[in-house]
Amino acid sequence: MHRLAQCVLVMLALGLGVHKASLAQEPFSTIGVQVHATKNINRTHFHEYWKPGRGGGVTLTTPFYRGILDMGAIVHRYATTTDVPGFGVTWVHAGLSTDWSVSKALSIRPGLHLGLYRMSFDDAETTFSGEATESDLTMSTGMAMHLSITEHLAVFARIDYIRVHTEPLLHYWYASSGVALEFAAGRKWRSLWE
Amino acid sequence: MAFPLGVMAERLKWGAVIAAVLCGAPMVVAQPAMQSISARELAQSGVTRFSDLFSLARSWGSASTDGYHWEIAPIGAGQEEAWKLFVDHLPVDVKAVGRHRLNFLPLNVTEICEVRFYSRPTIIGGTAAASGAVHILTCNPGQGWTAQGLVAATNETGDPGPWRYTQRAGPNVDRSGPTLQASVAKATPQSFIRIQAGTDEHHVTDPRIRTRVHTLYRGEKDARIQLRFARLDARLKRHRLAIASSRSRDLLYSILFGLEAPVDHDIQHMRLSGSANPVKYSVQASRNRISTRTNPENFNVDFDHRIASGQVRLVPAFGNPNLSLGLRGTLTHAGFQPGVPVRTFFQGRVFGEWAPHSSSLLNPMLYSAIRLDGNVPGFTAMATGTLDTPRIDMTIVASHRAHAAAKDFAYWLRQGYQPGMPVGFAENRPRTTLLSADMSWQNKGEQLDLHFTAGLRHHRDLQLLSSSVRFDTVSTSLLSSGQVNYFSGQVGHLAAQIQADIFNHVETVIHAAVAVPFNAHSEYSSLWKHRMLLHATANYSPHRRLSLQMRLRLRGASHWSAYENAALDGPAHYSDYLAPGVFVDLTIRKRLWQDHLDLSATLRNLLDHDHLHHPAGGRSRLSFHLRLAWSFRSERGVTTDSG
Repeated sequence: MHRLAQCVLVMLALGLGVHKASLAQEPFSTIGVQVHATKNINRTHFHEYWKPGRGGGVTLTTPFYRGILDMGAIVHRYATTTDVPGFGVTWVHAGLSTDWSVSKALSIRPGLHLGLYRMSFDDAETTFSGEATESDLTMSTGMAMHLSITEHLAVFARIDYIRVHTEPLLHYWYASSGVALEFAAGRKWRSLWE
Repeated sequence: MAFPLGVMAERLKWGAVIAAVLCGAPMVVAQPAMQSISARELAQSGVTRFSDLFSLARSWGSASTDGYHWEIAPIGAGQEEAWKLFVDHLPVDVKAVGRHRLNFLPLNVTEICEVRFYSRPTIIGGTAAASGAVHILTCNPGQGWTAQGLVAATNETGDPGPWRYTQRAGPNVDRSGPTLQASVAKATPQSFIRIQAGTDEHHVTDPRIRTRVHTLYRGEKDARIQLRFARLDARLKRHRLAIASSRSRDLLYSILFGLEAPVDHDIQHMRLSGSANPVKYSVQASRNRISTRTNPENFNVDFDHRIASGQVRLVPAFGNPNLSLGLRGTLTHAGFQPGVPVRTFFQGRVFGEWAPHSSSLLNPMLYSAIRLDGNVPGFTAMATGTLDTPRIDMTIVASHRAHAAAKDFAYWLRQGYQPGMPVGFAENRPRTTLLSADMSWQNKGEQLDLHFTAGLRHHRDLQLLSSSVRFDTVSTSLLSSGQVNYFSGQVGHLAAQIQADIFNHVETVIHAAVAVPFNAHSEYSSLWKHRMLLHATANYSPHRRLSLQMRLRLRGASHWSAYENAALDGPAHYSDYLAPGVFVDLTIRKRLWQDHLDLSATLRNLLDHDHLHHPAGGRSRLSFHLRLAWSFRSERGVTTDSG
């Protein structure tokens, strides 16, 4: 599994280094909106206590110098399978991807992200107030495959490896699929980011 | 509204220059043993707290039990207690039990123009800092209305997260922050008024110290340090006023207490300074008060330190542009726990600076001060010289003065302060002597800049608290015994620095420093805990509004003999040896919305190595820091303040 993550990193580096299309793009010249459904697909010791539910997310993308800036949020739930409390997750992340064209319609986007994994526990018994929620750092790499339908519309499928920096570490693999819209950015958008 | 960052650097620079002129300080010439960190570098490094500065200070070692308060000292040049803190050329007291609580300084990080780290003797505003100094220079606000501030949060790794509810649960390691600072200012060419306020929070929940912290801590939320502060600055023509107050709920650790005492720490400062040619004056009043909060063992570490001081300088004196003369008086009032008599004493100082006629080759400067500290006379003398080609700087210091001059922890213990276990005292010796010599050589090339620095210190009758501790198996705290003793010895230090702009858009600095105590008592030698430090910074700015900074810090091993017994009895909580450590930090910073917003993300301890920063401290791991600063100005363009 870690080899796949390494592979994503190598592709990201290659993409940032050599991809002419990214270099040619004006920073912040377009806005992309991705809406997707998400599911945790791997099984670890963690899953002896919790069962993953379905989730969904929204990601904004915009060209950022040599790559693509992604900022997104995903929400999903883990239902309890034992006597531990279930919890809802809001995972917010931001990172850099690159676009690797395979053909005119098909492209691969490897990316690297940092984020926060906020967990809200149901009916948690706590010693001190404020302990019913936890936020932990995430580092993730992912790879998406985009298939363009029209100039502005694409469908995509992606897989992400997420490491949540708890003790012990949490390792998740998420599979997602959805639609991506892209349109030219207005002056205000560029002004905000520049 | 607009905030032209293009001219910001100029504004910041001239703000500092005007502050220097106002306070009568000589213009600072770049010194090899002085590291200057600009406002731009602070933002590029993701600094949100003053303690974050220490990871940028190249020649300063640091230690911390809680990850919030840091004991720092210039390697081989000064002890933690001995260096001095200045804000806008005037000394500031934020110490508690001998440690600078720099994060409690009531000042917004966004209002700082420059921070200077002096790792050798220097003179600031007529005050000699023989063991180094940290000098913070604030900015003058630009003309019109200005609103600035920042919000920041930190996420420490190592939390149990959902594992808390399983058999694999570990103790909670909570976050640091949020940190919030805001200021509003209105300025005209002749005057300004600025109000600042801030809050901060830090959890002290690391598993190594958690049980010890909870011995005395009681609260609705888990153990934490909380801070709030406010500050008012005003200037009218050549006169400047600052009133500041900070209040914190602190967890105060000292080896003498052996645990964290929950205290309220109040710091109040008032200062008025200015000039009317040729007189430059300053009047200061401050209060630094520690009140112990209710705790189950009625542990009491109360301390109330009030200072009133005034200084007058003639610059130039008697019409001689190379001569300045000054007079400073300080009245100190110290109150301790109930039942212990208060102490009041006076300090007086007459001082002068003389820069004899200089040639283009040699620029000498002489400083001398005759002083009276609590009825004990003393003196400090300093001579500096600069050769222009090649650039060689020399500083020689001789100081023979009362222990009252330092007003350090050991001094207050001798005056009757009794926190924690009783302390023994060696026969009183009224004065301490320091002799020091420093030399540096600099070669500035087009792409490569080289610095070498060497120095030697000789201390005689240095008053120190020497402690030994045992481990309390129930509370995991320490049972201490201490003795105030006098020690003599020597320490030498060497530093080398290479600064290069080899690649496009990449600035690189590599700095190494070592300290070697010799021919000294073991207690004196153990004072110099940090003996080796390598610091490297690479800053990549591919675009004016985007930067990526990587910092590497290699810390040498250190041995803490006072903790030897505790480390044997409780190795899970204490150590007497801190292994060498490599720290890598990475900050990415992007300015947004035409420079109104400044967003940075920092990963500290990127290699995620478990590091101890103190033998009685928690471990630090990978942490993630987000910082968003804002700046809005009502008027475009350069103001009178910014030249």
